Amino acid sequence: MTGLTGQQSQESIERDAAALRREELLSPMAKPQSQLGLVWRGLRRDKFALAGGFIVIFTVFLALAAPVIAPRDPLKQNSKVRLSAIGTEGYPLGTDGNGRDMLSRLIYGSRTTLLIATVPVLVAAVLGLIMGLVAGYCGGWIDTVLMRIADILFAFPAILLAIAIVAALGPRLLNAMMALAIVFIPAFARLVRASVLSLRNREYVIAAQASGATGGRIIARHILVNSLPTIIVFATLQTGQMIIFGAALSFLGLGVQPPTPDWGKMADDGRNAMLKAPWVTTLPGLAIFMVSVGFNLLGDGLRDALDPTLKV
Amino acid sequence: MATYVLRRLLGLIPVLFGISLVVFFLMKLIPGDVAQALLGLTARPADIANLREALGLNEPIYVQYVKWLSNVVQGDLGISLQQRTEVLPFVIERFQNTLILTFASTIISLLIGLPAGIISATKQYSVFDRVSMLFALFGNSMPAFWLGLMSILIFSLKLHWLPTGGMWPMVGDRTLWVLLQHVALPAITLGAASAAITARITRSSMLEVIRQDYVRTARAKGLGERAVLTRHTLKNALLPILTVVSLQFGFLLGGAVLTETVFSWPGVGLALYNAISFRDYPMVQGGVLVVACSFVIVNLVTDLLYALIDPRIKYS
Repeated sequence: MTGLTGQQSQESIERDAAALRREELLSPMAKPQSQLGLVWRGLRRDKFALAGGFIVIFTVFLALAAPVIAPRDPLKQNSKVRLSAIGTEGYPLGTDGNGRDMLSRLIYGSRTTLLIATVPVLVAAVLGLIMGLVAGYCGGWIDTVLMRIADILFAFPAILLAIAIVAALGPRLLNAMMALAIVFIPAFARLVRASVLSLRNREYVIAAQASGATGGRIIARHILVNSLPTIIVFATLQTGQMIIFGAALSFLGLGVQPPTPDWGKMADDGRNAMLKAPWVTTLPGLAIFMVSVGFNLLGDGLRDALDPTLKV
Repeated sequence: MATYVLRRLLGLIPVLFGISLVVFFLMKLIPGDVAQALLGLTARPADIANLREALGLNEPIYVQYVKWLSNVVQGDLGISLQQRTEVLPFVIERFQNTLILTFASTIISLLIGLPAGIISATKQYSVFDRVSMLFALFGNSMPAFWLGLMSILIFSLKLHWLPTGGMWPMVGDRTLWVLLQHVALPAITLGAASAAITARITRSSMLEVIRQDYVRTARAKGLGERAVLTRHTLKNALLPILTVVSLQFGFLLGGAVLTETVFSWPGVGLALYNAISFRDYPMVQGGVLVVACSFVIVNLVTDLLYALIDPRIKYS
C-alpha cells in the first residue's frame, strides 16, 4: 500500500541519512528517541497515512465546530426548496426531500458518525483488553471459559449479531453503540490474549517475576505497555469498519433516529428520489466512504510505523 | 483423519449450545412485556394474559429455554407472527436464495481478489501492485448499501442495463439468464468488499511464502517461474487464503441482510429486516439461528479442508 519503488526508497534513505547528519551537527548531544517520536517519524514519511490523518482530523474539526461553520439549521424544513440541486443559491450542496440544507446536515452528520464509530471501538477495546489480559495471563479454566464465550460471539456474522441485538433492545443510537461494542469485543480479546501469550515468556517478564513483582504490576508495566501498539493499530483499523457498520445500522433504521442528521440515514432518505435528486444519497455515502478511507489509511500507516516487520 | 473429524464434530456442541443461548436470551432482552408488544397498546388485559399463557411466558425462564430448545432440535422454530406459517420451512426457502447470492458474491470476490493478490505479490511495489492495493483499501471502506444504491442509480435507472431489484421478474420465464441478470448487481455490491480483503490477504500470504528458502532453492535449481509460482508458492500460500475465503463467506452471509434490503432480494436477510420492522420475534430468532449455524458449519468444513491440505494440522 505504502510501498516505495526501489529507486525512491534508495532516495529517501539517502535523504534521511543527510537529515540525520544535519541533526547531529546541530545537536551534538543527540537525544534518545521516544517510541512516540519514532512513530511520528515513520508517519511523516508516509504520504498515504498523512492523508488519512488529515481526513480524520478534518472530520473531528467538522464535528466540534458544526454549530459555528454550518450555514443553516440542519433540522429546519422548508417546503419551498425541496430537492434543490447542488449549487442552488443559499444551498451550495442542495437540499433533501424536506427542504433541509444538505451542507449543514452533512456537517452535523459527522458528529453521529464519529460517535457511533469511536465509542463502541473504545468500549470494545477496553473490555476486550481486560478479557484478553485476564485470559492470557491467568490461563487455565478462566482462559477456557473466556475464550469459549469469544468463540460463541464469533459464531455470528458481526453485522447480523449487531442487528439482532438492536432489534431486541429497540432502535436507538445508544443501543446501536452498545450492540456494535459487544460485537467487536471478542476480536480485541483474542488479539490481546495472543499478544500476552507471546510476551509472558519473554526474558524481561521472567526477570520481573524473579525479582518479585506482583502479577498486577507485571501486567501493567510490562505486558500492557508492550501490547498497546498492536491494540492502537487494530482499534484504528476497526474504527474504519465501525463507521460502515454504524452507517449500515442507521440506514436500516436501527441506529440514529430522525430527525438527527446522520450520513447512513440521509443515504436512506434519498432512496425514493434517487433519479431526480441523486445528490441526497450520493453525498452522505461519499462522506462515509471518505472518513472510513481516512481511518484505514491512518491505521495502515500506524502499523507500518510501529512495526516495520509487519509491512509486506 | 477420522478421529480428527470426530473431535471437531464434538467441539461443535458447546458452540451450537452457546448460539442457542444467545439467540434465546436475546429475545428476552426486549423491554416490557412481549405479549403486550405483540398485541399492541390497545389490547385487552384478558387477551394479553391468554397470550402469555399460550406462549409459556408465565413459566420460569430456564423451563422456557429447555422447551424452546427441545422444539428447535426437532425442527420447530415456532410460527411466524407476520407470515402465519411455520418459521423453519420459510427460513430455509429464503435461505436458498441467500445462498445463491452469497455464492455469486464469493465467485466475484475470488475472480477479482485472487488474481489481483497474486499479481501484486509477484510484482511487489509495481504500479499494478500499488493501484490494486489502493482499490482494495477503497473496497474495504465502501459502505455496501451505498455501493448498491449507486449501482442501481447508474446501471438500472440511468442506463437501463439491469433490473433494479428482486430475483425474478413479475412476468416472464425463469431462466438462468434472467437469474444472472438479477443477481449481477447485488453480487457485485456484496462481493466488492470481500474481493478487497481477499486481494490483500492473498498478496501478503504469497509474499510470505515467496521469501522462504525453498522458493529460492526452487529458483536456484532452475525451475521455470511458472512452476515456482504454482507448485511452490501458491500451494503453500493457499492455507491462509482458504481461511479468509471461509471467513468471507460468513461476512457475506451477514452483509446479505443489507444487500438484500437494498435490492429486494428475497433472501433470509430481507426476511429478517421485515421481521424486525414487524416485531416478528420467532422469525428473527429463526433467521439468526439458521444463519449462525450455517456459518459454524462453513467454518468446520474449512477446518477439515485444512487438515486435508496440510496434514500437520490434525496432529497438533
